Amino acid sequence: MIELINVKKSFENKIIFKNLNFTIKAGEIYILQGSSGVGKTTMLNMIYGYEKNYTGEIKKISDKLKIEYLFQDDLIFNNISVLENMKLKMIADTRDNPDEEKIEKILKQFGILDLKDSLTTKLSGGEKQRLKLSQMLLSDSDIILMDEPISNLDKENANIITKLIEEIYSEKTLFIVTHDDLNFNKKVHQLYMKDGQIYEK
Amino acid sequence: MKNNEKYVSRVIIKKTKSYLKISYIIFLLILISFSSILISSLAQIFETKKNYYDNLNTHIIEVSSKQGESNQTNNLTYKDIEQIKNISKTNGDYSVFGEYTINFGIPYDNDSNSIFVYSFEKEFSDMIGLDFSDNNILYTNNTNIIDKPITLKIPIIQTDNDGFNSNNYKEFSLHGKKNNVKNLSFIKNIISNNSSVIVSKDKYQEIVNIMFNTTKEDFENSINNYDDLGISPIKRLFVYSHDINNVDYLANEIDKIKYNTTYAFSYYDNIADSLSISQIAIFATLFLALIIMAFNLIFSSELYYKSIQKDLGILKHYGYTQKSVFSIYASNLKNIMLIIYSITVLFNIIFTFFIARLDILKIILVVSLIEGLFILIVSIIIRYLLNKKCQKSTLRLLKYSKDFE
Ligand SMILES: Nc1ncnc2c1ncn2[C@@H]1O[C@H](COP(=O)(O)OP(=O)(O)OP(=O)(O)O)[C@@H](O)[C@H]1O
Ligand SMILES: [Mg+2]
Repeated sequence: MIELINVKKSFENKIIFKNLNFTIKAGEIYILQGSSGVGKTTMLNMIYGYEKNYTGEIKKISDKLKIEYLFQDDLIFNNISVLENMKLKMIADTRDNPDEEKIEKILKQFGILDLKDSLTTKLSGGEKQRLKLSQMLLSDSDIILMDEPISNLDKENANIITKLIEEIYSEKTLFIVTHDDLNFNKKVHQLYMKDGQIYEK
Repeated sequence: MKNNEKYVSRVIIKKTKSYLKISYIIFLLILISFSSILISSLAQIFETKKNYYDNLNTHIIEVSSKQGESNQTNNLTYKDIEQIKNISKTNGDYSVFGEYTINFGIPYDNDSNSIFVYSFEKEFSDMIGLDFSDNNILYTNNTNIIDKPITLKIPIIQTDNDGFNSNNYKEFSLHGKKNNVKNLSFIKNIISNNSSVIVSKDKYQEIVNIMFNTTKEDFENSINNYDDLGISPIKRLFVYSHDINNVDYLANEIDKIKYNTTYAFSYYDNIADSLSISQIAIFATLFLALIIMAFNLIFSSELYYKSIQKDLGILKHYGYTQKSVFSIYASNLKNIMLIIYSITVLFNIIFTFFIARLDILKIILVVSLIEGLFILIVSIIIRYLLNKKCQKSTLRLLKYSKDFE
């Protein structure tokens, strides 16, 4: 689905990837771990198209391949409601009037329907994470990239979110970057990144 | 812009910073103050201009005497009328009128007082607003004879070896009427003098005929022969230029052939004088304040757009194109500027109706157009700043939003 071939990437004089090769296959779930600063986020940025300054090739199966990217930082608007945030994202995806029914269904799946009129500033870390994950479902994407979906969460919340991801996204291709262990029941590709290379555990 | 983008704009405008709102409000207030001074100045200029154009004084060149060979001043005669009439046919239409007098007082009623009689040609009388459709009228400001019949005792003059002498007189009836002519500087001397009266040209001729025992024909012949009757009847000449812009030129031409002229001061001096120094100072101050406020608004907007770089980034990350993100924020800017402009124009309309009497539409249009242009320029600069932010890459907007460059 996505193929990285001989990718070289460096920032100023710091080399991140000397020669990275990796293939993401449709329908699979990948969990990539690795120490801080090793280049996990950089890899996602390159795949998504945010980081264009590299050599080598990143091949996509189609130009129309729809990728969703759960960013490492909180990318939600403050001072507006959960519902409004969802609508903003949905308008961007569909260029159409937001379908409130669909939004409410997704919010319900993630257990935050009660909060739809709350301001996002009042949400807890776990609730914000659920909102971000809800936004990923608004469009019919082929693959979802997730950068640290459960960091900054306590154990209990992390487990709940992990379960939600497994349940709700089970049909999708997932590429998840994380510090923490994600315990999926399903068979997944457990990967780790070291010295600019990806190894399967 | 699409409906959805409008929705996004509306959701996001909630987040406009208060310092930006204050900047907009001050900008509006200064704009309105600027309007008021601009409108009142324009109203004053237009009024002065109109007064100037309408004012008979400014069309008229007064010729008081002619300089003789050895620089003595000579009285004016009928010849001079013809001479001035022939100066220049190329430089616009003008007419020459005489002011006729009898150079001694005429007693009236049983009083020992006497009056001095003045007269103008009919066309000139009409021009300055003296109506002689009733030939018996005598215009005066002497309250003793206003609205009363008055009988002049016209001396019948014989010439003998000793010169003039008169023992008989003839009664001549006229009717006093208040002279309502105002603001005409060139006949002020007549109006302000209680013993001066104005009669029609016909009556003037009759009086002269009685005095010198001549006939109407004699009088006309005398004029045709340029032969005055020995009484220096023409005191002054008035040259009326139809086009105000020719007054200067015409006066110069008349001066050249040795006449002594006076006329109203030059047009442009007049307009400049109509605005006081303090008014110009207020105008300059407000203009400066407006410029400073525009810069303040531009600077505040830049600060605001810097502070919302992350929001711009989030929108782009959500999938909005650079163009959409731009128009989402630009539409808010457009709406605010439209509101500011509408309020200003509304103020212009109301204020102009209160303060101006002339050219109301013109003033509203000119002021609103100037301010519209100003707002447009400020908007374009702010849009440019916004566009520069939108052009940044999403990653840059998301990651480096906090550092204020
Ligand atoms: N725009 C940039 N300019 C310079 N250096 C950068 C830039 N972006 C990332 N880096 C550097 O590249 C390295 C890889 O960063 P990256 O964000 O990919 O790490 P990561 O593996 O995601 O780490 P973490 O687990 O902490 O998120 C880091 O050392 C980082 O400092
Ligand atoms: Mg990272």
